[in-house]
Amino acid sequence: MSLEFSEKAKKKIAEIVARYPQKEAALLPVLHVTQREFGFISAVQEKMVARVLGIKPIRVRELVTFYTMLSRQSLGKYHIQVCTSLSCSLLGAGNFVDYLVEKLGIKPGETTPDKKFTLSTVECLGACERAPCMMINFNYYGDMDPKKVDEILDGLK
Amino acid sequence: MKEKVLTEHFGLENLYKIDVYQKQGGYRATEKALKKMKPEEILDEVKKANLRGRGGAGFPAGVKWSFVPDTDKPKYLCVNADEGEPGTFKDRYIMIHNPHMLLEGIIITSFCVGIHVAFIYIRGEYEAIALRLEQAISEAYAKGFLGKNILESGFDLDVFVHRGAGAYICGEETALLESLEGKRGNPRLKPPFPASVGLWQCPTVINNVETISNISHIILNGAEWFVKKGLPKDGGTRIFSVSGMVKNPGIYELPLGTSLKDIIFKHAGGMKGGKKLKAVIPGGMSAPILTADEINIKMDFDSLVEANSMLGSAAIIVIDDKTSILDVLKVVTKFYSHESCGQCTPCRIGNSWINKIVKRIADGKGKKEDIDSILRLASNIEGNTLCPLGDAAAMPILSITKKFRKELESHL
Amino acid sequence: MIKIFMDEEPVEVEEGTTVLKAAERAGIHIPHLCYHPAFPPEGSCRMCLVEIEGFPKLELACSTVVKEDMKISTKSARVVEARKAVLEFLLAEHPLDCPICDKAGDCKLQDYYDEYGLFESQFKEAKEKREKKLKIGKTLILDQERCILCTRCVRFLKEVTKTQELGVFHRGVHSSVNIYDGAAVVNNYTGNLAEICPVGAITDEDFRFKIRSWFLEEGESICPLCSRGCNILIEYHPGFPRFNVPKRVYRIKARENPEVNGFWLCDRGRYGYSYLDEGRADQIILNKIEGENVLTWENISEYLGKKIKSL
Repeated sequence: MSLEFSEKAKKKIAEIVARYPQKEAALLPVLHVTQREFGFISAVQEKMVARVLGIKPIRVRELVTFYTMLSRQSLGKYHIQVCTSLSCSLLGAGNFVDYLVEKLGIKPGETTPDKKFTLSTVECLGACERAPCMMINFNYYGDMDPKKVDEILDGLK
Repeated sequence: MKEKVLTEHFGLENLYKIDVYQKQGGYRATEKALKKMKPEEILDEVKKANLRGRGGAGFPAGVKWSFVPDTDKPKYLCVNADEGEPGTFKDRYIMIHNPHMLLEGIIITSFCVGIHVAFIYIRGEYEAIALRLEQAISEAYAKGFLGKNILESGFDLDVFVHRGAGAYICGEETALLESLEGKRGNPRLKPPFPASVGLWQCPTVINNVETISNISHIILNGAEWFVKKGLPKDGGTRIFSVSGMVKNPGIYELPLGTSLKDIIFKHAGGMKGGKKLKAVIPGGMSAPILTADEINIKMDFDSLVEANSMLGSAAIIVIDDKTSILDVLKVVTKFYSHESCGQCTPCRIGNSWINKIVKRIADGKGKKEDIDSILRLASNIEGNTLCPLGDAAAMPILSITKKFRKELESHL
Repeated sequence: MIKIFMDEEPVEVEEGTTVLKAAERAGIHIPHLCYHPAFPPEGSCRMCLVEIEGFPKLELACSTVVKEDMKISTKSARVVEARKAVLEFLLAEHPLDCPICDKAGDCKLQDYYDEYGLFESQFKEAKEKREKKLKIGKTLILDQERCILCTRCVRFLKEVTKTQELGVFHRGVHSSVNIYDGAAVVNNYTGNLAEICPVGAITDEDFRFKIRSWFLEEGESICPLCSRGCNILIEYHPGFPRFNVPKRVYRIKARENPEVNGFWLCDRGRYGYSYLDEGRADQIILNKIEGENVLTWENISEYLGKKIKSL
């Protein structure tokens, strides 16, 4: 694992920083780039980001621990995020989670031993008309039932 | 409804591409506004249109814009695309199907208020939609609708997409500003209001996606036309997000004042699987719940306030009689407890406390005094918090617990 | 100057005064935790809510600026209820540590409960568990369970020392103040953190478990360790009639002086008080002047003064 951002990421970061009159505003977008690049944001990445933006690492951790989508731990190749808010709950999100727990053999918050899947429960994804729904990495899947879940997961390499 | 305002062309393939959008008359409103109107005239038109905010608070857009002072400081526009209110997904549809309609609204709004930099703060989970917005923005720059000297009017505008990262509180306008500035999404004290002290201490207008998307239509067709689409005091249509136990969940653009019963049974196909209706949340999860015999109500700001609820984000969640209200309460309290930013005492501790009680009841360890405790704690949150999230939590908790008390007590 | 009514009594205050300061002027103390005069209002503890005529909700005294003819009530039923509510929320997730907490006797939470609370606990759930003995500085220990998230410490390190060693991690009820991976609070003003913490979340090892605050008396003084002359309060034990205490001085606190030290003390001055109890001159050696024992503890300062003046 290199301790440097890739050239592509460096370019993106520079482009982002240029948008704002104050450098600190680039912090959240840069954290997205960082998580894309490394898969997670540990102390190593926190210090890298802090250096790039000229702020203290503690300010970076304050954000990483505040926002749900930023992860301090490495995640599986596919992060399955199941919505458990109201509309999805009405349409069986509970059973949906149970089915995934059984199928993957892990509980919400855990990653499969082969590091392929991480399972999480999240709040409203804004796709309530397709309840129950889930987001895998950034792809939305709605109208879930066991058959569809099997199809989707078995199709992921 | 014959002629819709916002969703008129949603079925059209590639509407999100600027050429297709322009073929439908897109960017004519921008030309009219920048070439033939003065900023004061635009403000006047928006005020006359009685366009109230479509994010949740319902504050009149024109009035909000008029609070921006005359100043040498740069002014900013933040489009609130955080769409975190459970049950709401209308902005997602607008942005994915017709991003240029939003951009036109941004351009005209910015021209009216004297803004040269606009940010679209979009929730982190909507990555695909953020990409589409960025595509649309590139197209707009390429055709000279953004950037320097737009349409030779001498007006400059830059628009950027800024992604959130999973925090409902960042949909609150001052928390949005903090988040955009690169900090934790902790709401600010008001006053001062963002219109005078906003982004980087500069005057900032913050409006919801749907609100801004209406602007080009108001400019092209006039305020009177817009008011006629709705009600005298509430101009225009609303895009209702309908979900829950209905046959056809989805978005429905209808005039303000449409009956809730009609929306559920006429437009959304009625109850799914032959179930019976038990309750409806009319304006996003933060709106007080309505029982089955309270749904004969007009969906507009004032009618819902009279019924002790609110129009909010116009997200209708339909609950059936096979669903346990305890489960509903559990999901509701879990949400606010998880999404509380933690800054102020009542919300940080109160929401977690109530959630702990409800979980205990659901585990079969409920006590006789628990229901009164929940009511007392929720009342202690309401009105005492730094930002509206406290009220957004207290209102549904209070209404659900009061209206379905017997059912909740049966679990003790 | 403008006229307002504080609990129906007319008060005259300058324009731009907050309700909190105006109440102080009128001799009324409005309870507050997160507000500190050194920083702009934070508004997060919600302890200072008051009722103002014409305002539908209760408003914050720390941040609301008074206007002519404003009618403020600091004791109305709504205010009393709101204060109880805020206290109840704070105490719900607060550990019952008073018997082992240094802050006891000097603690705002205790004081306010005593004055505005006095209710039975209704909290029957499990409290949040967090770190209780986090060493965050030279002599500072952080107890995250006691912390009420007033963020005075975080703001002090951001605005005054500008060193930002503390931050708030996580969200909601899981929020906690912390340092960054062992990067301790290191600057010359760390002692102020224990002083500004309204509860026993930040304690000082220099004082920890040594004495109970109610045994201490306070004396005003000036720190002699440098030429600035910061105003201090010396907290000392006056002694027991029948047994000795190991020392007299247990703690130095800052005394506000806007023209000298503001609200703060440096660590050197704060912790360098051992000279007050150790190595004291306790014997008069030169006593014979022209063969006679003339010096006594009573007349020695006069004698020395004459000698110094004649130099």
